Amino acid sequence: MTRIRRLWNTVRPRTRRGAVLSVALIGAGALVLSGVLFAGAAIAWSPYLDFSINPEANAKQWAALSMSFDDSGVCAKCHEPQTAKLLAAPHQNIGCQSCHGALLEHSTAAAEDAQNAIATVKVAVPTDEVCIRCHAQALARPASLKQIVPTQHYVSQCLQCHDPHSGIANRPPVVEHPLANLPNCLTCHGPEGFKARNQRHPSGVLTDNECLDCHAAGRGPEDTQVTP
Amino acid sequence: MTEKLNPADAEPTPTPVVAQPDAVEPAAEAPEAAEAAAVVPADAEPMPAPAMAPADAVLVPLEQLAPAIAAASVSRRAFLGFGLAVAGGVVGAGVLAQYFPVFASAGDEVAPIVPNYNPATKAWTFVVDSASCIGCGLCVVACKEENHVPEPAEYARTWIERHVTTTDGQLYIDSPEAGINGFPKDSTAPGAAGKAVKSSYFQPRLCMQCAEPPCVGVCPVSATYQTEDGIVLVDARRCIGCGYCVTSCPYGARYLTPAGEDTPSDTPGVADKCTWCYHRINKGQKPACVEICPVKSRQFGDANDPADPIAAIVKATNPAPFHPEWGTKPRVLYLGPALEEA
Repeated sequence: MTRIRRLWNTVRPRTRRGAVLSVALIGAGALVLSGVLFAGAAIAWSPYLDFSINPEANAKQWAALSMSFDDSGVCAKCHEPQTAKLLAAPHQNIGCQSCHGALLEHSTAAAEDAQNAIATVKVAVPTDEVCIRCHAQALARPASLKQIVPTQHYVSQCLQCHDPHSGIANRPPVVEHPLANLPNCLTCHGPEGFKARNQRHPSGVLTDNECLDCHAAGRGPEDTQVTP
Repeated sequence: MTEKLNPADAEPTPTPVVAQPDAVEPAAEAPEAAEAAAVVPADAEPMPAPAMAPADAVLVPLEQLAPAIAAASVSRRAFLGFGLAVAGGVVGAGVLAQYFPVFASAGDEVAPIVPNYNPATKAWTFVVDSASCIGCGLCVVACKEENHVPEPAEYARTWIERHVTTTDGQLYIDSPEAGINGFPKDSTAPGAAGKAVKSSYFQPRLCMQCAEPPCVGVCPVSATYQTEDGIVLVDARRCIGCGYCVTSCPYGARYLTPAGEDTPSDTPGVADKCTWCYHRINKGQKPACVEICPVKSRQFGDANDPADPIAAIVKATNPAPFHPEWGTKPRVLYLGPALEEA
C-alpha cells in the first residue's frame, strides 16, 4: 500500500495545469491507441477492405471447400468384379456413386489402407428407393428406359431378384401345384430347403403371404411392365 | 520514442518563451526552463511571434509556470507509457498482418487459386441434354450433399422441371420438391390432371454462369463477382442479404440461405447459388451433379483441354444456350426439347 502511495507521489501532477496536461496527454494517447486499433481491426475484419486489398481471397475460400464425391473411376481399382459386370450391362454408364452415394471418404481411407477402409468406412447397399427413383413409371421419362409401376410389381426388395451390376434378374419360380388344403409353405420348403439362387433371398420364418408375393402364379414383371 | 514525445510536450513551452519578448534569448538559459529545454528540440524554439501575439490575455509569468513544467515533465512517465502502448498497437497490427492475408503487398506474386490450376486457360463447358434426362433427381441429392445446401426444397442450387404440353396446347411445369425425390407418375402442376398429353420432357436447371450476369450488376455491395474462369461466386462476408440478385436472375438460380441452418457458406441470410462445384472443378473433378447423373444428361469439361471429350461433344451435338435473347449470355448449353420450347 505504501509502495503504491509512494509511486503515486512520484508521478502525481503537483499543480492544476500539470493535472490538466496529464489528463490531456493520457486522453491523446488513448485516442491515438484506439485509432490504431480501430484501423487495424477495420483492415483485418472488414470484408470490403479485405476485398480491395486481396480480391482473390473469397474465390480461394470457395476453392478450398471439402468434397464428398470422388471420381467413380477410382472404384475399379479394388472392386474389379463389380466393375466388370457393370461395364457389360445396361447400367454401364452409371457411376458407382449414383447408387452407393458419396464415396470420397471411403476411397480416401482405401488409398491409405484397403483392409481398414472396408472395416471403417463401409459402403451402403442401396435400398429400393434408388431403383424406384429411375424405374418407376412417370410422365416425361424416355421410352428407352425400363419402367414399372412399383405397386403392381413384386413387392419384395428389388435386389432379391435383380443384380444391379449385371442387370440380370432371377425370376422367382412360380408355384405350379395347387395351394388349397396345404400346410404352411415352410413345412415342405423349409428355411434350409429352398434353393436360393440369390444370396439376398430372405431366410428365416416367413409367412405364406410373404412367399406368395413373389412365387404366386400369375406374378411376373410381364404382367405389370409398362409400355410407354 | 522522443520524436513522438516532443511535439506534444513542446506546446506549453513556447508560452513562457514568447511571454517576455525582451527575454527571448535568455529564456532558453533560465534555470527554471532548463527542464523544458531538455525536452524541446532546438528547431522548435523559434516560434512565429505573430501567431502568439494575440495571446496576451493568457500570458503567465515564467516563475508561476515552473511547477507546471515540472508537472508536465513528471507526467512524461505516463506519456511514455502511452507512447509505448501506441507503439505496441502498431506492432500488434503488424503481427496481425502475418495471420491475416489482408496486408498482402503489391510486390507479392499473385498466387494461383489452387496450385497447378490456371483459371485463365480454362474454358469450362456445361452441356445439359433435356431429351435423355429421366428425372430421377439424383443430381439434386448430390448437390445438396456436396454443397451443404439446406434441406427444404425451396433452397436448391440445381433442380429438375417437368414440362408437359397437353393436347390443348397448354404448358404445365412441375417440380415437386425441386425433383429431389424423383417424379410421380403424372404432372403435379395445377390444372394438368386428367388432360391428354401431347409431349413432355425433363429440364435440369442450374446456374447458367452468364458471361454478362445481371446478378453481379445489381449487387449494391459487390458481394457477387465473376472469377477469371467465368464462375459467378458470392462472398458471404460482403453479402448483406438484400435479395436484389435473387430477383434479377431470369433463370431463378439464386436463393437466400435460411437462418440457423447448415448452409454452404455457414452464413445465414446471404445469397447462394450453384458454383458448378468450384471446389471440385479446380481439382480436376467434375461437378457432383455431373458425376452422379446415371444417364449422362449432364456433361462437363474444359473445352481448351484436348484430352477432354467435351469439345468433341459440343462439336458433334451442337448444343445451344437457353433463352439467349434474355441478353445475359448464359453459358450452360442445352440439347433436346428444352431448346425447341425456348
